[in-house]
Amino acid sequence: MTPRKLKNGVMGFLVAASAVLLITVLVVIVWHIFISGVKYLNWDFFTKTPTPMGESGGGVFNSIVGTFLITLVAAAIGTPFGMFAGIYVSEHRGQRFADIVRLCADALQGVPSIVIGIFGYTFLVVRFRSYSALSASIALAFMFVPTTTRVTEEVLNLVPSGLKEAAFALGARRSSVAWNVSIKTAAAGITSGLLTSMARIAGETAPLLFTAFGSRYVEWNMLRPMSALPLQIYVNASSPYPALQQQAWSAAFVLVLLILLLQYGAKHLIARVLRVKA
Amino acid sequence: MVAQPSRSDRREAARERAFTAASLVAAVTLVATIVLFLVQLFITSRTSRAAFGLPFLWHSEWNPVTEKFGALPMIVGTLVTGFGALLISTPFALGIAIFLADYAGRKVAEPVKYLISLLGGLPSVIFGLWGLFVLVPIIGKFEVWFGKLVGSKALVASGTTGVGLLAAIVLLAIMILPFSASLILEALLVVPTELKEGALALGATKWDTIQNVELPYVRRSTVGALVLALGRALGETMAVTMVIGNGMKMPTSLFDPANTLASAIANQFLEATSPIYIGSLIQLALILFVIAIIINVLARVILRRGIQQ
Amino acid sequence: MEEPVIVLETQKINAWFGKDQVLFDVSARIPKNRVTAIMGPSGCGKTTFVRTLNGLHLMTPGARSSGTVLLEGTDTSTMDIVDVRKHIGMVFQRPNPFPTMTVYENVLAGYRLTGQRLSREKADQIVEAILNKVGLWTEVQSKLFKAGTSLSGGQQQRLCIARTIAMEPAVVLFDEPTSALDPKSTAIIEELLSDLKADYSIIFVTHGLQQAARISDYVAFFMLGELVEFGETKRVFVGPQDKRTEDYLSGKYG
Repeated sequence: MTPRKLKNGVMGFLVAASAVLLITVLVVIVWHIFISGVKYLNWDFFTKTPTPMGESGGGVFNSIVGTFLITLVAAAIGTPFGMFAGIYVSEHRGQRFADIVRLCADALQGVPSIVIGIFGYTFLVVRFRSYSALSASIALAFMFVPTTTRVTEEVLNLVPSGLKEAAFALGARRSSVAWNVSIKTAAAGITSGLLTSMARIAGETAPLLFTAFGSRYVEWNMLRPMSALPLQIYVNASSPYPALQQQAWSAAFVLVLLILLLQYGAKHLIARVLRVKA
Repeated sequence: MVAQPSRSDRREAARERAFTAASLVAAVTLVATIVLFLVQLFITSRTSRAAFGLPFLWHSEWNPVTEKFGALPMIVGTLVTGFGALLISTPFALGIAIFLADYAGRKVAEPVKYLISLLGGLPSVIFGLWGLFVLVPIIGKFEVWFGKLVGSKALVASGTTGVGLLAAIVLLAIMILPFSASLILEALLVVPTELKEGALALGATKWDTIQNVELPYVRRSTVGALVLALGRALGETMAVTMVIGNGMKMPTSLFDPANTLASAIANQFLEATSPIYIGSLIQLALILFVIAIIINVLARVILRRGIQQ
Repeated sequence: MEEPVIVLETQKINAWFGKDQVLFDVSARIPKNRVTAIMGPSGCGKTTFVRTLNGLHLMTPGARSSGTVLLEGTDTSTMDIVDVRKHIGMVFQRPNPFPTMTVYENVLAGYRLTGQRLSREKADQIVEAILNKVGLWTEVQSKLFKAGTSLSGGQQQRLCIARTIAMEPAVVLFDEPTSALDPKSTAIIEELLSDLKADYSIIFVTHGLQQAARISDYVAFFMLGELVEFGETKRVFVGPQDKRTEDYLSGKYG
């Protein structure tokens, strides 16, 4: 065997080994969440609120409600901004300001979540003199907008230019072409992007620490402190009580399921888009 | 030929104006957000700057009791964990990307890619949970074993916890791995087949081709991907917060409890009551924000040039 | 033949992509209710010329143009561009019905996209009349509410013609509409043209000499961005006045 062929074999082995290692780590993590999560799941977990520190029993109904409310409101606030900014960037492709907007969206995507949390606290909580779910939703919207902008832009760029030209040739205005042709053609892709963005913010903890703050009660009022699954996982995991730590695993399991569901929806839609294209 | 505008024409024209205005407002808002963050963090951290000035950046004492604050331990913690994680994860990221691009068939590659995207989508707090209850005990045992190996009683004694810099580095390495691997894979997949076939036709082995054709082709994209991954690692909050141990002192070994900029804020912000303490934590956020923006813009510039090539 | 009425006149049209000039002082008078073929070798500016007429040229980033277009005597630069496009329709090279719309909706796409509301009866009426005009009614009557993209290529192109003439334009631009179609579909569309010119003035871009000879009453010959020769088709084909036209017709250029 020549040294080159030996090297070829060795590198092939190393490359495959690194893949095997990653898969192993992955399976271990998912397995832990699944096993430890399912073990402590019961009906109370979904329907009850937390018991006082250290007592066993209780559930995370308050956090499930909170996660849904906070995520949905954040998406509702962020969607118009993200979509319109995405439309802007796509419509003004090649222009300097559009490039700046895209760069800002990219940069915002890279802003650490804790910075967004601190910003939410100083900008909203201090101003309104109270922790609130709404300030958490607004903080999360700052994460939701840039991803939505980029996804919208990318999907709109995939709309064949021939279709847009055909609409313009019929005497349609830009807004009409954008709504009736581009957005409609790209609807599945954009929805998929929105679901992906929601999956991302649903699991965020740091932006909630100093905004939603957490609550032991089932709270429907967005202007009051509220709990959420990620927040509950963090608080429970950091507590010294095994019962609460076990609850953290179950909450993690539920959160992962929720995120997988959103991602599955997104993937399903994308698959449909690709089928139509082909 | 020039007809009077009808009602539907006027309605369309009005809608056009509203649409143009809405998209411009959204675009401007996005840009303004960055400025708003910068201004807001700058203003609310002024108590800290008034007390400590620029030396805040290199003073190594962080003491909430005496209210003396310097960011150096956190800056060091952030850089050590960030670069450490990058160092560990990069060879694996390259390996996995190459494996998926050139070795695995579709039947293997598709599920592995799905697993990678799954791992990349897991929330930080769940990595933290796993890190705290699974990884940290393992690191603790390793610490004791290593302490015995080098004959350090201190390590053996402290090894019962396992929290600290090393746990954070390992956890971060796992977390950024799917991110950098999938970015590198994306770049590898656009290497033209003719280039690869050209090299193979000359009698090059598979690895020769990868080393001399593919990797040089994706060099720029890979560097961009790694810079982005570094940015993620530097700003990663919850997972690090849960395993790094909230140490206030300057770390002297990899086994020491420490803090990153992000974890210090997450760990301490709710306890901070005095204006100087709060201001100093916000100042940490400002530093982190500036680092994140610079790294992300840098990465995008690198990546964009990579595409243009 | 008597002197025809002029529906559209261009005066010294110049066009650029970035720094490259692709049209040079093109002045042409397009007769009403006739088929005018625009022909010439590829890259000669045929397509750019028709795209300057309805302002699509300017939508390409970096594109510029100068000169005057008179539509029935009105300078189009004084009109709102969307009105210009309502009067000058266009059919493209590749059939491009809107994939999110049904056959029925595609015929009415122009109304919908320009925000004009139609009553149910009026809409039905237009769809049937227009589809009859392009010879599609019997073929697609049962598929009216299927996606426009579900039709065959030739049918899709006729659907695109339908949605264009549904807006009752004065002029219809055809940009090589048969180049993506099979010979049979091409023949159907060519036959259709002779019916359509009773109601519309047609400008038809083609790079096929045979096609130009078959379908057109007038022909404009372009070369390297210049309008080399313009005249009645029979006259140009039999006795070209410009050497370049003669060379092209005798096959000396690609």
